[in-house]
Amino acid sequence: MPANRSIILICFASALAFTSMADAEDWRQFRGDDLSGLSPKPLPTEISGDTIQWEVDLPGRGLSAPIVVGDRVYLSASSGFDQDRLHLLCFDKQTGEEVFERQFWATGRTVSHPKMANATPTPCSDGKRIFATFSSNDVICIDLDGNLQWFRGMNYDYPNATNSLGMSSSPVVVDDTLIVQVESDADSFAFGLDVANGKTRWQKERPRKANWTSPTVVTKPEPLVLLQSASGIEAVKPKSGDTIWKYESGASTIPSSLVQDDILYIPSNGITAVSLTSGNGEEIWNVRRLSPSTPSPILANGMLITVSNVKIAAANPEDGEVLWESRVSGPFSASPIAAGKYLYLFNEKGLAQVVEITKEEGKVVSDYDFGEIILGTPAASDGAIFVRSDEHLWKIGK
Amino acid sequence: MQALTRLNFSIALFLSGILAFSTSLTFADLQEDLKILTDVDHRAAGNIEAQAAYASLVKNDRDALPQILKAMNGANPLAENYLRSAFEVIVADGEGDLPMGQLAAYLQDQENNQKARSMVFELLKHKTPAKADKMLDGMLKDSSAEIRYQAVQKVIDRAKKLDAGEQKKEAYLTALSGASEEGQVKAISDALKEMDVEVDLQKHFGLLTDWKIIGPFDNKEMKAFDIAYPPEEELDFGASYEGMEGPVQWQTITTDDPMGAVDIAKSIGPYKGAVMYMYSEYDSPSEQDVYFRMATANAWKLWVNGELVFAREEYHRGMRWDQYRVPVSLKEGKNEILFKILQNEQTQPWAQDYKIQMRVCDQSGQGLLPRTSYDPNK
Repeated sequence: MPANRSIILICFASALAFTSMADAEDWRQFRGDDLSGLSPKPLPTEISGDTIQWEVDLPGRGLSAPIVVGDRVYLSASSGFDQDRLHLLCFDKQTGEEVFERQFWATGRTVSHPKMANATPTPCSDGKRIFATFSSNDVICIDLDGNLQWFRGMNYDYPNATNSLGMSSSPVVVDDTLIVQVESDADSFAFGLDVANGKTRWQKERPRKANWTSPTVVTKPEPLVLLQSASGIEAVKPKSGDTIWKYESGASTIPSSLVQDDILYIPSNGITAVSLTSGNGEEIWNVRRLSPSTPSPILANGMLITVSNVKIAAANPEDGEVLWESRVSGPFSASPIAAGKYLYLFNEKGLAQVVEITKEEGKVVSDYDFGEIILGTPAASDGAIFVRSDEHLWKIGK
Repeated sequence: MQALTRLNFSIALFLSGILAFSTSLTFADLQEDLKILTDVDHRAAGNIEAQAAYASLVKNDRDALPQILKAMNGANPLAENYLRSAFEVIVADGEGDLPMGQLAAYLQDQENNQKARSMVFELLKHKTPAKADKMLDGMLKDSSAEIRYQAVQKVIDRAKKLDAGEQKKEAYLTALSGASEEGQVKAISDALKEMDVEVDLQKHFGLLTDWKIIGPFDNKEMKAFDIAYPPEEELDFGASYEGMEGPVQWQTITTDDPMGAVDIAKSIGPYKGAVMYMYSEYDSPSEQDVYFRMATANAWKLWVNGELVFAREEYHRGMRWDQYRVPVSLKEGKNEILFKILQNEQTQPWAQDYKIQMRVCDQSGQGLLPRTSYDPNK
């Protein structure tokens, strides 16, 4: 083959690959790129055995969610009788074929409540790297092809920054900084780590209280990371850790806050809505009846939705007025995701429920029993749902 | 012709010189990369250098694998992970054959890094499953907890299939001789119990069951974590001190719980907002590095031979087997153990535990018995 034709073909193939990457819809962290839990594209409104496009076996347990970067799905897992083997897995999004698996050893405490696993926090990505944290407070950065970039052992560095029930806070990456909350009854810290090498840009003392929540992010007018704890919310600059404002009326230590349309919805005394435009965390409304259990709230089809053990509640996001409550089959550990007027719930027994949400009601329109415990929040990409149990990862599509 | 041969010989000599130089350079590069990776340390020390060294290391052929394994011996837990990852990448993508003989030799030497040995065993299982399975027969006492777990499980699985009788009993006793993981030991113990064989779990796990205890001292509002009451200042077992509810003296507490839990709430009193001090001794047959593995839902401090080895201020986040693992260096002979255990004032039913379970074991979790048992009444 003439050399110039080879070059043309390579360019064409590269262009195709680039186009494919560019078109692929990423879901780079817990509750998606913008932490809203919303899929921009419609998801299957019916879930059945026929809509499972692939299923892969997993080598370990986990409550972490899959994330999607380009044409690949990344997932963490943990195994071993001590839960001390850490797995980072990468699968082809289209076929489910394993691209690579990397294993590491935990450097911190692996003990947890039996329901939890070491692989509880969801990894995140800046599009070039994957950052995975574990209950043992190990922080691992690999590139998209699985090459180790750096490794931190936050429990190895701070032996008392642990929780005997397990840690679950999922990291976020903002402004080239990985934000990691390592908060417990004993030592309690938040860290801003340089994504390039894992070095500590900043470290903050945090309330000494067990905390399982994940940070959320405000993007306007400047990026701020919102650190939640039993004390409330602390808004910090991602690169410096400087505190810009605080909400000090307390917050839940399990479900995480939601930012949508310049309003912060905090699981605090039910749900408390706080203005992000006032600059000082001014409260807009509070409704105790909207108290979520483990799942974080979501704003879907113009309604704020909270999920408790056996019901979902919908509220007007402007004033908190409860529009309706609807019974569903729980209990839930996974946070919901949504697309358009459909809400996707996976209960702990492995029952997937598609709920059509209107201003009048929430109605289960489809359900499917996966027959395995599901505790991890699903991910969505290009019209497909990715969800995991301890044994399997599934892709659900049309 | 002769001149031509001489020329060929000279060229060959020259080329082999280049080859030797290049090989030694490669070997030097490999050693330099390994050195950089084993130098990574707390708080991201060496991370930047390690990134380049890792990228260089993974380009090696598979014949570099034994060198990587060798570097794991003595490496800290962070370095172990860099090296493990490089090992995996080279196994997956490197050129050349796997040096199976050298890998097997590394596995056989129990002085090598236990985690690395386990990793090598996993690789052998993947490549030669039948051979690896046969190897397990000789690994019941292996110093790697993971390998031993598999060897024990193989014997348990075999025992399950046997008909009741002496052979079955012997098989379970064989499994017990290597077992250290809680679930396996309990399964074996339950099976043996059905055959009228009682397993002394306290001894098997190396649990500390005999203590002196004094208290309660005041811990209202959880203020006493850093208050040093008299037992932190002196160990005078005949002394009396002012406690939370009046004078307190040292007394004896022992446990007959098979899993060695010392229940203060039941044996002494369900104190709230209280501090108790416990004392025991461990007669070590030699100077040795051990682990104190313990479980408690209460806050605590642990001193060994007067040195504070760890402190933990966490209340009621559950009590789980081997919840804490504290490395301790023991001297030969008597070692003094002082334990401060604090209860808060939570009123929920699930927050009433006031107990401790403590054992002495090796790095792999195998219980280590003292030379002589401690008698708290002496």
